Formats: sequence, C-alpha cells, structure tokens
Amino acid sequence: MKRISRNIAILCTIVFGAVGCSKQSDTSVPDAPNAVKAAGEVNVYTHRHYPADQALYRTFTEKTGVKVNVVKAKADELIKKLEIEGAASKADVLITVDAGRLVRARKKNLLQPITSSVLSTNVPKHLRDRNGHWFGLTVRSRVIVYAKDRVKSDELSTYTALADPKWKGRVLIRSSKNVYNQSLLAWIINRDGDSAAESWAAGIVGNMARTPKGNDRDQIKAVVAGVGDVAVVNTYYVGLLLNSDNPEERKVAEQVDIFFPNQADGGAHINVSGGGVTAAAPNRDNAVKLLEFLSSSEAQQVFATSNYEYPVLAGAVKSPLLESWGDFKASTMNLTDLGELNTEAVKIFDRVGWR
Amino acid sequence: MATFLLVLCLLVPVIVVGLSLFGEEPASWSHIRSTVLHRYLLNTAVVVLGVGGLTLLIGVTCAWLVTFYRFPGDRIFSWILVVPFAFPTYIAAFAYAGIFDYTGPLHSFLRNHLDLAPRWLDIMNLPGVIVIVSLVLYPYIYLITRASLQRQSERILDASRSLGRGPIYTFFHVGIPLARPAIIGALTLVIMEVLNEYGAMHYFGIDTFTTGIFNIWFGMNDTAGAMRLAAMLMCLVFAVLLLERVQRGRRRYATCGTDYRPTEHRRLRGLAAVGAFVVCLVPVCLGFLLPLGQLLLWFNQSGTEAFDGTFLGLSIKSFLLATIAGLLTVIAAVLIVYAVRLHRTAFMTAMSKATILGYSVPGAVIAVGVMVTLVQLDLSIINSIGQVFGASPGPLLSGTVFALLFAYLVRFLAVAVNPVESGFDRLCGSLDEASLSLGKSRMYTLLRINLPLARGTLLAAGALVFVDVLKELPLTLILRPFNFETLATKTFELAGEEMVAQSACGALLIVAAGIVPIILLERFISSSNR
Repeated sequence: MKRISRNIAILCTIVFGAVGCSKQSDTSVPDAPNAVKAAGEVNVYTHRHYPADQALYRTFTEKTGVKVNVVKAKADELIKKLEIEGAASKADVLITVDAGRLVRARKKNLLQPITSSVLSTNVPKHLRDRNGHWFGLTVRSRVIVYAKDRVKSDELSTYTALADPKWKGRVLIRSSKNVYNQSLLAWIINRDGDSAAESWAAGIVGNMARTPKGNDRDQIKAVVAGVGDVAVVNTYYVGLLLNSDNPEERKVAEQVDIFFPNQADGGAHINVSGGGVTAAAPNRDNAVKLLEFLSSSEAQQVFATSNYEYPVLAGAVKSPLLESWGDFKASTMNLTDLGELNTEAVKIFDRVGWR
Repeated sequence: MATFLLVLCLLVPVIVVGLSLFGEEPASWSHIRSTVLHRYLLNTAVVVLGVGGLTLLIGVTCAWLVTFYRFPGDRIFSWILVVPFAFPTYIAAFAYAGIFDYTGPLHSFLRNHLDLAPRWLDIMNLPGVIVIVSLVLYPYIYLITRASLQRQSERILDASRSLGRGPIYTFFHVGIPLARPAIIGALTLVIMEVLNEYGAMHYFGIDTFTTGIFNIWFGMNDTAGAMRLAAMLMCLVFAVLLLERVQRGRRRYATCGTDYRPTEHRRLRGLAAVGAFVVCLVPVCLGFLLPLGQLLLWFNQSGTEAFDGTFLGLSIKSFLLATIAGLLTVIAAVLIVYAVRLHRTAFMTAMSKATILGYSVPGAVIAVGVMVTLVQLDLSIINSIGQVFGASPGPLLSGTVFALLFAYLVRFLAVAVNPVESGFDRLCGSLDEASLSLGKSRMYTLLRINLPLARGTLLAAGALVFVDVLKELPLTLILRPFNFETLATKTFELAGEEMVAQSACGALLIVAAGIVPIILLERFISSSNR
C-alpha cells in the first residue's frame, strides 16, 4: 500500500510538474489563471480564425494597452463552455460567425446588454440585438453564382425561383448541416411561413445536381466542372478563389459570375459575424472597448479588404473586388428573428431529405 | 484500492455523459428517429464494417509478411508501414479531396494536357471515405499485431509445419488465433476511432451517428439530446467489448515455459518476393506518399507565408504535451490492467472496459464531460477556500494545462489499455505466482517481472498515445487555456473552414513530428523483441 501511495505521489509530481513546464514554455500567458482579473486584459472566445483578426487584436493592444487573450473553437462549443463555467467564467467577449449563435447565447442568458453610443452609431439597427446583447461586425451575403457560358443573369431572380422545375439537376448547394444554409432557410421561414419554406426546400432537393458535399468553394468548382449550372454560396468565397495561390482556382473564379438575388423583393439574404459581452465578464469595460474598436472605420476597413467580407459600418472603404461587384440591396430583416427559427429550419431540412 | 480510485476519477467524465441516458427524452429525439436516424445507422454500419475489414486485411497481412519473411525492402517496410498513422484522418481526407479536386493536380492535368474531364473520377463518397480512413488507421492493427506475432514461439509454428500444414493454413489456424487478443484490441481502437470521426465525414457529406450527435447539438441547439445520443453509442460499444470478453471465455494466450524460440525469417524468392514487396508498397504509397505529395504541392503554392518562425516553439510545446500525456496514460493503463490481472473479478473487468469508452464518442462530447467535472471540482474548492479564508481564488483546474492532460487521459486511455492488455495477456501467469510466493510484493512483481517482459507493447502504447495527442483537435480547442496553441490548433486555424492549402505547413509539421518518434520507437520495439 505504501508503495502504491508513493507511486501516486510520483504521478502527481509529474502532472503538476508538467503544468509548470508548459506554463513556462508558453510565454504569451505569463499570468497565473487567477490573476487574469487584473486590469488591462480582455478575454475573447471566438469562432473566427482569420489571420486578420489576430492583426486587429494586436492593433487594439497597441492603441489601448489592453492585452487580448483568445480561445478559438466552434461557437456552439464555446457557448456550452460559457454555460458550464457560469459565473466563474473568465471570458469577456463571445464572437461568432453567425447571428443565430449570438441569439442562442443571449437566450441562455450568457450575454449582457451594452449601451454604447459608438456601437449604436456604427452598427445599423437590423444588424444588432434590440437590447444591445450583441452587435454585428461584418456582413456576408449568400448569393447565387452561375456559369457565365450556360446561364444568363436575366434567368435568375430570387432564391425561391431556384426551386422551379426549370433548374432540375442544375443546382449546387452544400449540406444542410451548414449554418449559412440554416440561416437562409430561417430567413425564408420568417418571410413566407413554414409550409412555403418546406416546399421551397423540397424543390431545391429535387433540383440538386448532386448529393451535397464539400464546402462553398467546392460548389463553385462543381459549377465550372459542369456538374451543375448555379450554386448558392457566400460572397467572400468567390473573392478567396479569385485571389488563390493556385492558378487553376483563379481560372475557376473567372468562369463564374455573382448574382445578388431578391433585388426587387426585399433584398438579398445576409448574415453577420458579430460579438457580445458575456454575462459574467470580469473585464466588462475592456470588452466594450474591444467591440467598439472592431466597429471603428480602422477595423472595418481591415475586415473588408483582407477577408472580402462586407463592413457593417456605412462608408467604410471596401476592397476593389467588393466595389467591382457593385452595391446590392440587402434584406433588412432583424437577424434576431433568424436565430429563433434555426431549429425549425434544421427540422425542415431533415424532413425533406436535404443531406 | 488506489487503482480503484484512479479508475473512478477517469470514469467521472464518461459517467457525466452516460447520465444523460436517464434524463427526459430530448425534444429533438422523436424528430431524429422519424427522419434521419436510419440513414445515420446504416452509414455508420457500412463505414465500420468497411474500415474494419480493410484495416484488418492490410494490417494483418503486412504484419505477417514482415515478421516471418525476408523479401526486398522488408527492413524498411517494417517501420515505414507505420508512418501513415502520423496523418490526422481529417488532413488525409482533405489531402485526398485536394488530389481529386477539379482544380487539383489530377483533374488539372487531365483537362489541360489530355483534354479529358472524367466527372466520375471522384473520391468524396462512401467508398472513398472508407479507403482513406482505412489507409491512415491500419497502422494500429499492423503495429499491435506485429508486436504480438514477434513474440510467438517458432516452435508452435514449427509444429504446424511439421504436421504438413502449409503457410496459409498456419497463418489462419495457428498464427492468427494466437494473436487474437492483440488483433481484437487493435480493431477495437480502429472502430472507436471511426465512430468518433467527424471532420472527414462532415466534409465528404457522409452522415454517420456522430454527424447526428452534432446535428442535434449545433443544428437544434439541444446539448442534452446530443449527450444522450453519445451515451447510447457508448453503451453499444461497451456491450460489444463485454461480449468479446465473454466469447473469448477462459482461453489464455500466454507462452509459458522453456519452449520459446524467436521466430525465424524465411526468404521469399521470385514471384512470391515481388508479391510481398507490392503488398507492402501499396499501403505506404497510398497512405503516406500520395497525401504527403499533395501537402507538399500546397506548401509550394502558398505555404511559406504561413511559416512565421513560431512553429519551432509550437513543435517543442506539442512534443512536451504529447510526451507527458503518453507517459501518464501508459502508467494509468498499466495500473488498471495489472489490477484486473490480479483480481480477475467481473466487476474489475467491467470497470476497465468502461474507462476506455471515452474513445468511442466525439472529442467535443468528452470535452463537455471533462468541463462539467472540473468546474464542479473547482466550485467545491473555491467554496471551501472561501469559507476558510473569506476570499475566492477563482478557477484552479478548468482552463489550465492540467484540464487538458486530464482530458487526454480520459480520451486516450483506450489507446494504451488495449495494447497493454494484450501484452499482459501473453505473459505467463506462473511467473507472477512464483514472484508472489517468494514473498515479493505486487508492485515489485509488476515493476521487476511484468513490465520488463511487456516492454515492447508498453512502448507501442506510448507511441500510439503520443501521436494521437499530437493530432488531437476538438478537446484541445475547447479546453485549452487562453492563447494556448499546439501544432494541431495552429494548423486548424490556418485551415480555417475552407483554406486547407494555407495550412499545409502545419499539417506537414504534425506529420513530421509524428514520424520521428514512430520510427525511433519502432526500432526500439523491434530490437527489444529480438
């Protein structure tokens, strides 16, 4: 028995030794976890993993002296993490790539309302929570991409029209597990009601050129490969392809064009990537400062030029590519409503057999 | 007693997930059952059978060839056959998708030089995923089976041959049955890894049971439902594990006494030698060289800009983390397996089987179990300290490297327990008895008799855990401290959701970092077995 306890002691030494070692080797986290409350920090849980975001955090630290600590994972996992941690959570800001997830966090009382004149000026009303629980930071539009040689732009009009039998075997769109598709269907449910949305989804499934697989870029490539003629994708993927390091991908992007749907019918469906201050935020003021900075023209310009996303701030300089696509009419439906309808959308997808 | 407490500790996160079985039926459950469940189950069954069969075929055949025969390149094959294991499954899947992509090397060449556009030439489908997953998972079977075959006594095989049986008969009726515990143990790992695979299945559009878990969690915002589905999956795996144990019955596979003689190698000539060469070459090419080539191609296109000098530090940290986790996991596995060996009660056996269930469910689900466990522990510590000192120290365990190591232990115990168990199964029980009857303690017997004899399998177990931790993603992403990066998380960050090419540098480093210890340990295992 004595020997066993000695072995346990050795085991413990190894474990805690390891914890010590790893801390030392990680120079970016010099503080013990319980010292995080000290002034001059803000802790971010984010789903965004773009190099541009890291650069923006660095700029923020240079300007304000506030150090930004980051954990990156999927939004739903981070929400669960916030939920389990409860009042003991060290996180101050939650950033997601979809308004629906922010709505979820708010409904679980994980976000707190913020009143900031900067944020309410910079972020348009329909792109933020009614009570200031969260704010959109970048806009992405879900658009139709078509093969220039096989489709004329005047054949296209709305998302709804893609369910028309005319497009049988010609539509490419990714899996229903994807949150962008879930938000699109939620948007249609909110506009046209449950049964219309279900028959739209069934119509699209009937028109699919293939069983959904791959990501948005793969849908664009499949259009060029001739698997189908039109694809539903987020705008910035076209930008990423056009600027790819692979010449073959640039060729692909040049053979397609973008069509903004529903221009005469309420505007194209958009979603936001955005953030909110967590309910238990130990560094609330710094959290507000960070969100305000991310909505400022300096940060908005970085979002718009490095990742081909649309800025939320009116008048922020766009990249030449976004300019070349021209202005488009975006739906002004409040994004909170989309979050509420997400579960219903998933159920419809399952019922109509949208993989 | 101490082992019992250890097992209990490791079981808590699994129990947390398991408890969700007893909650109310989640709202989304009836929807899932009536719409998509049958497809999830069918796909899961097909993938499990397909990958199980293919990995057995590749792993056992190659292990048999390199253990018992001499043919051109056999020495090199004996270690290079392990290296596809260094590929995280999702990276292999992305690499293969890249090769067969419309803008990838294959189709670009056909289109631009031969004016061909064969649309059927596609890998993103069910057979494709089975082949790719098998190619990176067969090393489990190969490594563990070979370690077991190398310890088989030449005399037993001689007996078969001298009774007029050919090599094929000997293979199926003597060699394989003797290696059965090892092969089954390895196959269990493969199947559990297939069950928890999410990245590759999701990208290829294959709906499995695990896809269903995330569909309920992410899509329908029903974590309880997701946990319940995961718990059902664990129950199923647990039942199969126990069934295998029962079916194995009281048979023992130990080699006792003095009739042990190391295996001899027979030289193959002519067609047989060419055949053996090709059989071993194919998995190496398809499982390693081909995806590696695609990563290098991507790296050449875009990789250098991502290489910003932080990768050396990351590599060292990832190495350290994986080494510590590997060590802890093997120690825990030895304690558990030895306790079962000493007591052999149904209860202990069941407990030991339960500890490896953490491997059968997706990492994100186990992460939830670990978080709940540690946060509760933190809260009770905070409260008791608060009562004594009147001040709260804040969370101590959650969000630290300790949380991460604990999670790895829970997660990868299966990877260590299975080979250690099969290693111990092959040790002669009378040696234990001799040592104990001479008045030596159990711990002495373990350290001086059993461990040195099972050295090879212990190292294999450690190497497997090491590489698995190096590749691990979901647990690390969720449980890591602020600003904490490993090679895998950095790669994932660069990969973003769609930019696989840009992450080639990190992927290459993970593969490289995995290969070095695999080869070193491989050599060590071989020499210690000779």
